[in-house]
Amino acid sequence: MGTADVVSVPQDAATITEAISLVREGGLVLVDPGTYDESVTVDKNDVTVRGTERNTVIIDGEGLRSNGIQVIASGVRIQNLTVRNHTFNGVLVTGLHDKNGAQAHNLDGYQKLDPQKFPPLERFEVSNVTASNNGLYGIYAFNSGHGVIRDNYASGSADSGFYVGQCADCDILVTGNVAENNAIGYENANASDSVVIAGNRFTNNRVGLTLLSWYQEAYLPQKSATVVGNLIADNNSATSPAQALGAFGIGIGLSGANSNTLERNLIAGNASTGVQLTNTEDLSSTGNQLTGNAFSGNGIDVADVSAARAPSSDTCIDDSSSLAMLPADFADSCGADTTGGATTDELPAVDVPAGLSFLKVTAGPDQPNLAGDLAENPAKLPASVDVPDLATFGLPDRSLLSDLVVR
Amino acid sequence: MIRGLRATSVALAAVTLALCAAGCATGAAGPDSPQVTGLTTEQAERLAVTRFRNFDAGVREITVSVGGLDTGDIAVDGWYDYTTHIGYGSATSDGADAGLIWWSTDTIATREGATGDGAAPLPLPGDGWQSGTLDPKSTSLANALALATNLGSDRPENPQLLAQSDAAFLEKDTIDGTDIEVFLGPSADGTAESTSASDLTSRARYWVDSTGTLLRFESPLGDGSTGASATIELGDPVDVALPTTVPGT
Repeated sequence: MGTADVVSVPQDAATITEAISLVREGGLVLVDPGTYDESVTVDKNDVTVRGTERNTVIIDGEGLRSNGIQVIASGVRIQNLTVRNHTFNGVLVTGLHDKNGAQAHNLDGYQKLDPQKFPPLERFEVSNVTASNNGLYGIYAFNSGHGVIRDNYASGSADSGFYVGQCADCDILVTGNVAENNAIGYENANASDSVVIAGNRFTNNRVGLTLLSWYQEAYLPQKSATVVGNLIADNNSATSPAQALGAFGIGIGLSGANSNTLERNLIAGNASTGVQLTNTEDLSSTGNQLTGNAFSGNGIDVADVSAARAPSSDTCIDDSSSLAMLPADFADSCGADTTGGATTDELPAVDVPAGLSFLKVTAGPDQPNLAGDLAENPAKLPASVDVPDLATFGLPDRSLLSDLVVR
Repeated sequence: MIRGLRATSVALAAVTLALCAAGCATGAAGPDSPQVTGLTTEQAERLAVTRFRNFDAGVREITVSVGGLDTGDIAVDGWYDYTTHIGYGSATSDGADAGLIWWSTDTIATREGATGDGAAPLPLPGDGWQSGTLDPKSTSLANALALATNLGSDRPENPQLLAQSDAAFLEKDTIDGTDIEVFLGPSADGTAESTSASDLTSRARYWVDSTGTLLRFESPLGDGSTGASATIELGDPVDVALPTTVPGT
């Protein structure tokens, strides 16, 4: 068990892994610039792992190793560094782990999470992390709660740049992040209630953002997330890995998604659909509220392609008269059931470009460092997230975080 | 069918889509097993990316050979594009020119006639092609070509599963001066409890370098009892554009 308050890499320890073994619970691991060819597991509570320079402190999976950083303890912060070229995840935060380390879904052999056996990890923060060219997710938190994912950048993910999954009453804030040139920018599967996705830029992916229920995971169905003040635009990237199901040109996808609030987002330039609703097998999309969003230049602004077996219901869209809808009378369904949506072949035809190798997606520009005194060990993360007043997240324009993107 | 390419028809093993697509068999080598060892974490990581490395490389030089046939050895020498899944090359039968072959995951087209110095011409000759379904059960060559199409994937596989499977390390080797490890792939049926002597002749082998790049692949054809086998050798990535259709078909 480590005793050090602060451990510097490489001065005090040659590797980040060694530094974690030396630091005490609640201590700080400070990592100097360098390329680290290790897969790091943080298994000690309340430890902060922080790079001293975000763009040059690099954990590189070299296209071989599975995960850059796995967080399996509570109260951990990962800050101000780059994770790249992993076959699975850049940063993985999870309460699901065994002697082989963290387990993650979307892999052959993944066992469905048993929430009784693996209670959620509590309290985490991933901030000012650049996650580039990872084969599954850039930054991934599941079976975890009371967390913050802030001011990160993800590109070149073969699945999604950011992923929050498998939690109820999650108390997770996702804010200030940029995702581009991923198959999907941000994915939210079976993550419900207090998930706030605010002030992010999800542009130039194949799909910008998804809220969905997924039968292979715990905590069905997805419900009650808040998506506010985001820019979700131009998700028609040809310079990205292919989406597993071939999706392309979609701003927001809702699948078996319920009672979510989409408010004051700019949803623009998505070649197929701005917001697309569908079912997850027998799970309908119900009670989703679209309020104060701005739509422009989408193939169709809002499309319901739910199957008749699980039609959407109670979708409420304000100011819908100005929007291009499919079916054309879809907006009239607020407060009423529908009998099923359009078929997908009624959607605007899009030419889906071939996907790139996730290792070949161009990395983004240098990203800003964490503010403040980087050598100072921060106070322990609080029991619950301090969510900002959502009224401060106004309707953005296309300049939101535009200085941080490739294009 | 190209003259000289009439191959012994062999009952074929199913072409698996991935090393562990339907779940790997598990278990270490038993007491009567040949000298093989389970995979280290690093070895499993390298084996897990071999198909993805081909996708990442795009077009690679390829030689697909079928040996152990009564009718003489067959080889196809050319290129394979692991992003579009198109292969093309010139064929030889017992060393003699045997025409051109273009193939995809479901189609094979052949063209008779000598190719001069043996290299397949680009662009493709504009006529003389005959096209049909690539049925891996039809001939040993079709089986081998189908195996070649199966060596690419846009995602890595799960190294944890491979490490827990009966995939094994066999030996170190070198190919053209590059250090190689030779791996025995996992058994496909999910029932083997240990690596037996028969596994060494019935399962595929992978020659993999330190980056996870596959340089050579060998697989018995059929159940291994006939002695027929496929060898696939992969060379450097090249900047060659292979047409996704064949003229006149």
